[in-house]
Amino acid sequence: MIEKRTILLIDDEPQIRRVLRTSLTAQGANVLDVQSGEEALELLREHTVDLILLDLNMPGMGGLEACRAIRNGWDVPIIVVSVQESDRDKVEALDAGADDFVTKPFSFDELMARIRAALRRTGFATDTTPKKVSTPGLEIDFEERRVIAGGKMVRLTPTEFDILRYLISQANKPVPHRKLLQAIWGPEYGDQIEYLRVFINQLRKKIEPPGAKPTFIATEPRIGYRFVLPVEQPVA
Amino acid sequence: MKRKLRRIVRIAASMALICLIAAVCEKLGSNRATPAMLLVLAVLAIATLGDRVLALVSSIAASLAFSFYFVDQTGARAISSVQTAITLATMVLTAFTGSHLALRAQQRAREAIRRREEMERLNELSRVLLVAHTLPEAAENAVRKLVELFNLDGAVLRVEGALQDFQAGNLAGGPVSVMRATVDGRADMLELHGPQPSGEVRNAIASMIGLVLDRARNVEERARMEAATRGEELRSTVLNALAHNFKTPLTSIKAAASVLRSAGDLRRADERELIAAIDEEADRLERLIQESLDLARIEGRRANPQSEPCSIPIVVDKVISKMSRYLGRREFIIDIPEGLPFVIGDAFLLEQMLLQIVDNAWKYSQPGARIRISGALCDGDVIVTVQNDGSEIPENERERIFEKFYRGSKYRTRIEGTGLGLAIARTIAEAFRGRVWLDMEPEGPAFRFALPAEAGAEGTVDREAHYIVNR
Repeated sequence: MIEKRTILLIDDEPQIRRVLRTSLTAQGANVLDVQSGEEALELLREHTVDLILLDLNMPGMGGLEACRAIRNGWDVPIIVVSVQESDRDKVEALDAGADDFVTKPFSFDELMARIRAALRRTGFATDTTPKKVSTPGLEIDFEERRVIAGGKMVRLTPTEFDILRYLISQANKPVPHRKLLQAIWGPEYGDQIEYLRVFINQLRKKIEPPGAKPTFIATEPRIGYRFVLPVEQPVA
Repeated sequence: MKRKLRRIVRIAASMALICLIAAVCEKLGSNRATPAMLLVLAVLAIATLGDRVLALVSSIAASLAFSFYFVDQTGARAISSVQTAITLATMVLTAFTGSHLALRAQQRAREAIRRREEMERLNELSRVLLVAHTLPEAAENAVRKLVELFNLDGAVLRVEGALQDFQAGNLAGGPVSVMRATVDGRADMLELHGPQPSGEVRNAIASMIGLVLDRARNVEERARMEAATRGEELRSTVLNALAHNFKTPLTSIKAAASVLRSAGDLRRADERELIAAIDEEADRLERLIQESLDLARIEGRRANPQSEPCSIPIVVDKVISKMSRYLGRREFIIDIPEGLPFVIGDAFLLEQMLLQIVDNAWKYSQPGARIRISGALCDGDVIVTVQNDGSEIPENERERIFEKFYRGSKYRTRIEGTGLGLAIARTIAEAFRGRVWLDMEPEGPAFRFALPAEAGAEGTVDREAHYIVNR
């Protein structure tokens, strides 16, 4: 799955870059590596990459800021790889636009599983997913990956887009946290509820009309989330 | 002596004045009304000196003068005994009223002066007390200045929690008053030895010293908190740096070893064996680093714990996911009822407490054993039970296993560990008014901890992050 895919490795530790470059190349990936966020942004202007592995503790602009800067211009999946391990660090990284978080030290198998999950996500679709959804205040074209909320075009990251698509495929049914995590991130996931909270928050900010109570993505206390789609709306 | 002489002079002068008035009136041969008026005025004037005896003597003298001087030509007394009595009564009443009013005015003036002086002293005392920055400094200044300003023999201040009493002056003999000097129910006591200031002043002194001690305590508390926070920040910076420095090389080793191990194209069995050793030892090293860091963090946090409502289901979830990471997937049976009230504590510390208990249950059970984690609300306490089907723990060890560095006799050599886990769990539980203990049940040892449920929070576990894990 990762053969011929380009992975950008951003880490200031030469030994880690060396081990990962060697191992990922051995798996058939095309690996680019840089030692700072600044270099990464420069490189991204000239190269297309399929996935980014990003360290947090780096001199210069640092991992979080690099994450935000990359997210501003590119939709590429970002996996943060860091020795930080607290929930706060994870939530901060996800808030900054990362799609996943791997704690150092990790086994290579674990990292590969996360990389595969991230790459798979961008191609995710189910038979039950409608191709288009149109409801007052929200229009989604899944084939074109276009979302118009409140009359304005909004840009979703691949993960946000996948969460939205999955919730809509199960419209009006409560989707448990665990099920949603496993559907989007992969079967190894299930406990990372903080991931969901961050992504659902970001999705709500982007697609919900302003107001205190969400109209589309409802919280099912202690269970999960539910996408509210009025039944009489034609679903093409 | 001097005062006595002055009094005699005053009495003589008063008598002379009365006689003079009587003599002059007699000579002028005026009617009766004039000398009566003049004598009353003289008595009143003498009474304003504020001496009751002098006033009385003068009034009697004046009435006698009136009776004896003013007799008519026949030598008979011109006035009746009734009139004499009325004159006497008038004179005495005038004398008393005059001297009473005069005395009261004098007393008021003295009172005003005394009060002013007391206010000045209290003011001076407060000025001195307010410049003190620490509790001992404030207490020392207080007793020293009290003795100096209020002319006491000595003063003692017993401050609650202080190693020694603060005292000044001489404490032997003389009257003593003891009072509480406090604003917040503490047992700070103040003793004043020697001539006592008035009750009002004593009360004012006591409350002033109470306020000053309270202020000094607050200042010290704030300084201590700031130091603790700074210490905590420094500690966490150092710990994070350490974690980073240790884990970075370990990441390369672990990644490289796991790649080689899973590559599967190592031909020789001994090569595979060696790579496996590197990989496994890297895991062990990571676990050790993590445990030491956690331990250091617990110590740091214990000095400065948070107090927040914590959801036991969330704490359990976190511990399970942490354990899965270090020990691989294990079979946990989790039965935490929905709607379990929150407990008040520090989420990080509670997580560490449960982690120690679950880790202990895991280490001391047979491979493949199940670990049950259940929760219940009982008499206002949230009780969590961690049970494994491990073997019986001897009666005499059930309490000792919570001691630092104590390890079960059967396992001392077999199981890796520091012997700190349960001791840490107990200290954390006690920090939040909870308990940890062990019950032996037919199914195996059951470790329980109880923490007071958040007041008025019954059945409000309604955070979206909660769900029940069942593996």
